[in-house]
Amino acid sequence: MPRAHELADPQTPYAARVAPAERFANLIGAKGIGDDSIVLAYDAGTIPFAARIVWNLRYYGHMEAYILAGGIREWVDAGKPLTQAVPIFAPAVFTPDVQPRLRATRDEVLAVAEGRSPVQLLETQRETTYAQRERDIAGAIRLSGSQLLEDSNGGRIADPETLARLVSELRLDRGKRTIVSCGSGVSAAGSYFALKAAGFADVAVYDGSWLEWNHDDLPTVAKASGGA
Amino acid sequence: MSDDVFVDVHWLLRGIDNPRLRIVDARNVSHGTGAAASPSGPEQYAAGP
Repeated sequence: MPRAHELADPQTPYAARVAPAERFANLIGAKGIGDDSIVLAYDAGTIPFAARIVWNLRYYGHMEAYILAGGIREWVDAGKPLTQAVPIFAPAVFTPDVQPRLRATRDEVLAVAEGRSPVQLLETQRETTYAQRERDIAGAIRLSGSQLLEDSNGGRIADPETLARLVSELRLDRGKRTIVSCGSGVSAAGSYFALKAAGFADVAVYDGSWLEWNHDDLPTVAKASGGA
Repeated sequence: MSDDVFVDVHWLLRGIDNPRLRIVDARNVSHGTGAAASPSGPEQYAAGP
């Protein structure tokens, strides 16, 4: 899309984890995203990469960050032009202001897994990749990201009625702190915004998600029957 | 510009000439392995919009 901006993802063992504050600030500042920028992110409409970047920005205190509902398909369907020209902006100053409540640490999730915490932990990996797993984080409640995020519609969260039904069926408490996990933290970022829209006040993304949990050999249980 | 995190094409068209606006193409992000693998940017690009 015209005036779109490329943002690289740093290479780490758990590649979707948010970059450290200084690295994040330097990276996007060099691309011209600064404290006064208004950021719009879009994706292909099926995997919530845009949500992931917007969550990153909000984690670092930048609230003027938005997601194009429907992704690039929405732009194309509206008859708008595409371009291969990547704009270049002057470097800008991005000042991270970490919002720690938006991010759950491994230790916080471990407390849930070991029954030491009342926090709700939701496993929200999308159906296609969740189906390839045999196990779950202990203590997690399965709530499919594919339902929260309307995969078939692309780039949107489910309608309010569907969200309310999903919350009701699982007897989730909107007033409780709620951690969302997935395969690597990308779908969880989409789930974060879906739950916020559903009225959850205190939601956090488990940034490492299953990639970290499984890699570090932390407590797991067999997936419940009915999980995709 | 908006209280809602999700915005539409009309929102973008209204603000596209705003010099403060930065648009991030988030498709070009590949990540994960095994059960958590996701398509690469080139793969998504080749699949078309």
